[in-house]
Amino acid sequence: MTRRGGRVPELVFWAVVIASVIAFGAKLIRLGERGADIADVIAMMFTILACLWAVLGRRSAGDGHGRRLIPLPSVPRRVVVLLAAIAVTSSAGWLGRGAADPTTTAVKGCPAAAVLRVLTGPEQVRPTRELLAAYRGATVEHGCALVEPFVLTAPASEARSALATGWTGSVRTRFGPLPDLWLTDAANLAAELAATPAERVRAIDDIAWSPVLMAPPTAAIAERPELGWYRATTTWAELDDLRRTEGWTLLRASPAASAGALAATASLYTNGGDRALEHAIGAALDAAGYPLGDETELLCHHRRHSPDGPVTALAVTEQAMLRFNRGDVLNERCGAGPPRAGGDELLGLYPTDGVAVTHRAVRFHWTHGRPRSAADDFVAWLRGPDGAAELWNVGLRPEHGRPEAGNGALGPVPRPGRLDAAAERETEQRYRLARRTLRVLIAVDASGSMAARPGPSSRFQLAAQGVSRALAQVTARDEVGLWVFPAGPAPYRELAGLGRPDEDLGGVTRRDLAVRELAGVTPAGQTPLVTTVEAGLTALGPGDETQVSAMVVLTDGRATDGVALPADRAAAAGVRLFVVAAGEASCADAALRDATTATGGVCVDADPAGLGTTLTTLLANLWGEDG
Amino acid sequence: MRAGLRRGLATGLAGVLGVIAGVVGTTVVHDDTRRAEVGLPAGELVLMSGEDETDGGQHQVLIDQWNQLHPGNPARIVSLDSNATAARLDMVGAVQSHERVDVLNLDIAAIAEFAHHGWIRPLDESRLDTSGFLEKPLASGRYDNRLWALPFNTDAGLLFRRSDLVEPARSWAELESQVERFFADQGRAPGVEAGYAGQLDEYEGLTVNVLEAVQDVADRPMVQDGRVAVTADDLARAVDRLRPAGPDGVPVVLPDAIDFDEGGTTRAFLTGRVLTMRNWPIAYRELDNAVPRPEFEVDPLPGGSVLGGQSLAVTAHSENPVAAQALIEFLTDSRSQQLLFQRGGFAPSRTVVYHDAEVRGLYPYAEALLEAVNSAQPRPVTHCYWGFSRELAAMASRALTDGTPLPDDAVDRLDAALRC
Repeated sequence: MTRRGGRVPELVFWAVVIASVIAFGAKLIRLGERGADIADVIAMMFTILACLWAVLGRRSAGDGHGRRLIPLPSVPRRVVVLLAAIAVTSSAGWLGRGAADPTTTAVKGCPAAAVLRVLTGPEQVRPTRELLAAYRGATVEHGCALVEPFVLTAPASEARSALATGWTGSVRTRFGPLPDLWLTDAANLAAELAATPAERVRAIDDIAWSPVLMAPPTAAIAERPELGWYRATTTWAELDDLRRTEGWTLLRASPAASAGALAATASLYTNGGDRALEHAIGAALDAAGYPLGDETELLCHHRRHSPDGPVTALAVTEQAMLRFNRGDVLNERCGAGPPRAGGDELLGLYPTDGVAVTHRAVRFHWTHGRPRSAADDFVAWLRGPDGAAELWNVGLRPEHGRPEAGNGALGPVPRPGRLDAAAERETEQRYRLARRTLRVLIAVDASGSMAARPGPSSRFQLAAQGVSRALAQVTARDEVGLWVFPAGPAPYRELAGLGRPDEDLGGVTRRDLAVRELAGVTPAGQTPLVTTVEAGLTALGPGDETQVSAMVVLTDGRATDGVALPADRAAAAGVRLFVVAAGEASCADAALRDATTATGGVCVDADPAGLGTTLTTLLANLWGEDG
Repeated sequence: MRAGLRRGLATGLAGVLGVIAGVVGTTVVHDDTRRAEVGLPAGELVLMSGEDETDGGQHQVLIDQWNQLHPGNPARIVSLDSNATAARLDMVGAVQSHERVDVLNLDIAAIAEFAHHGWIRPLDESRLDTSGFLEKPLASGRYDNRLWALPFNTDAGLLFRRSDLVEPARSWAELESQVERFFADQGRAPGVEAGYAGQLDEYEGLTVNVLEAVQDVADRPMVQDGRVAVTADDLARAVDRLRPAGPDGVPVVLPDAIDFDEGGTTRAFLTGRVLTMRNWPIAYRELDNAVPRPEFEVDPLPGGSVLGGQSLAVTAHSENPVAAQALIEFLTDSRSQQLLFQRGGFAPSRTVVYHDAEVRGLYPYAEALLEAVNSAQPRPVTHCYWGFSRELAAMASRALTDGTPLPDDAVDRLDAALRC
């Protein structure tokens, strides 16, 4: 089979020649993806010419001494094979999956990584970052990562609306880059988006799930062996009975901010008594200063300040429990750390009639080129064995795979159903009717700096727009009031006193009066923040089992009338303090951060241009609306 | 028969060579055919830019003017996140995904990367008059001997100083001496906690702060000819300069600054916590409008600044590159630059604007800014800049946060990052 002088088998010779032609084609295709790459082309061109030269210049069949097809000088076949092998090797990386090949990398460094912009909800930011870090590591070839991931976040309902409009307008400024992928635990909203006439969604896949469970401290069950059967053979109704019998305090995150909390609420409402349940949960949250936020915020506070006294059980997703027990980072404001010293690890009790939160990956028609390939590869990876392992590492049960028991979780469990859209809407409606009423005082900074114009509108106008939208969402059950500070020589002015939003105040509702009065305010003067907050606390009065008292302050400046907000007084008064900070004001300032945290409120930084929308979102979470 | 076959094969070979040459030619050679075109081909133009932070949204004002003058080429802005990292990534995603966009407003540190990967196209210099631009901002748009972008606005770090409390400092040593003297007599301003605050949180701002400190300590830019050009000792001394002092030391650097970006630094200065701060010119308007307004003046940064700013480039996949370049020329002409500075507070890239009497009345620091821009050093020009920046910011942040030395192989790691 060997030819004289060549000493390379005929079959091998032709194989490498054909392979080199394929490799050359691959290189040309890559040119289109990576832009001009003349070094590659020239190198490949010489290789292919050498192959052609050898083929066309080969002697005719027979003894090897026949005439050449074309009278070209001879090229040793070993040289041809060597060149072809280089060509094939240099393109092997591309032929396999990505864009890094050893020769190109050695000569010119790593090629550009494909961007992968992933949108997710605030609760899932940290797990998503962890998943993407693992995936990025898995794509490394010859020292080059093939993807450059980026995580952006938006609450699910706002994300759905923005995605439905094509992520256009101010959305990109407010939430960040155009997403290539939406990883969401709002499975019904994802399905709704897919059903919109605009046809934004290219593919939608279930990738993971997390059952909703009741999680008391491990010790509460370990010390009572007779309660062991509750782990996996009981119903929500029986768990509720157990909780009452044992005198456990029940905690749950806000259903307006958490898909897991909404699913838990649906289960907890099985026995009826919605209002009594919400009042009990509200009182327990108030008593220990828990925030009215999502599961990561609830468990962050639980990690830092879990109360002594009665056993506290949490109605949460398995994912939240696992991340708490493992000491994982819960969110950007809550770093890694073990459950409180003394063995407060939680134990999952899995009801047989429970529900699960489904996590979906949504891909879009607007993604093309390499980001599209990266999104497709990432979803395939999530659904494969490596992705399954990483999903379990972030606390989620993959669609395929067998999780191991530990950290309070059971191993394989039957997969519960999920809330369908109708059940979800019904639960939201029941929650709005059952939750404690809200008594909210909104205080808007009207100092001189609010006249600054980050765009066509001033900061104050943007804030006024946000207040107007928020007031439209106030339910008839709640009370609201609106102040501005300062007001000429006075530190603050009441534009609309506290009361029902639709109350008639001389031919105009309180809601409309507030909007009208706010439109007439001209920002000027200093920032008497401390005086205003102190007066607001007095006007609000304390919250109780049936009512939440909250003061929401929107400011872009530092207090000019004192050093610190009266956090202790607010906490003692049972008023939750929320701050939307922009401009010179920042939640990085310990005074603002500590004051809000101490009262179970929160400080939120807002881009000056996003003042209004941030305020709307914050208030929508309080009302229990979609935002 | 055999001769015919040979002729056929020879023809085939020539054909294959022709195809190869054609593919190579059309792929790697810049298309110059449009140079001869007269007028602008009609069609909408899309400009992608980080969020407009000028007062009153001056970017849109300029686009409105363009649209009035060029009804056949209406332009619109796709506004991105104000965070430079997010904006860059969104732009990379846009070009990789062939999103409809004609002009990118790039951070100048990203020009090399976009040019290297073929995401933007060279400007047609035969149609350009670049004589009025400041030299360094214009040069930042060059890569591989071609001009890829024109400067929309420029930037240089400045030292904002409480003029009622400290005198101007021409060097870092002088600044330290002044801080020491100030705290020896602290009764003058009891609220002051430290002498200086910069941007020391882990992001691009920290990279810039370290680059500036290194070039002052080593008396040369940190990167030259694509390699780290300073010693490990230079790098260590630069980072040490940015470390907050211990409890017994002179409080030159404010400890909280390790969590500061530009906004945090401005707030610390406004609230009287520091005597000086390093910041960009855009901070001036916020300080000037503050109530109460602090007494302050603006000086060049001791040791000099690195160059910042944003430049406009035409995407490689723009379907109307001629009109796109015309839009860039419009946005960077003297009139537009004056409006951006005068009404928006952005540092202009045209020399003439700095000498305008009205501008000087509005911005008394215009001369200091011009001096700072003219003496600023460019950031490393490499398509690997963002990886280098991430590595430098990460290791400096760890050293500042933990109070530990830089890793022994810091220079080697940065060198490797410069080569991706």
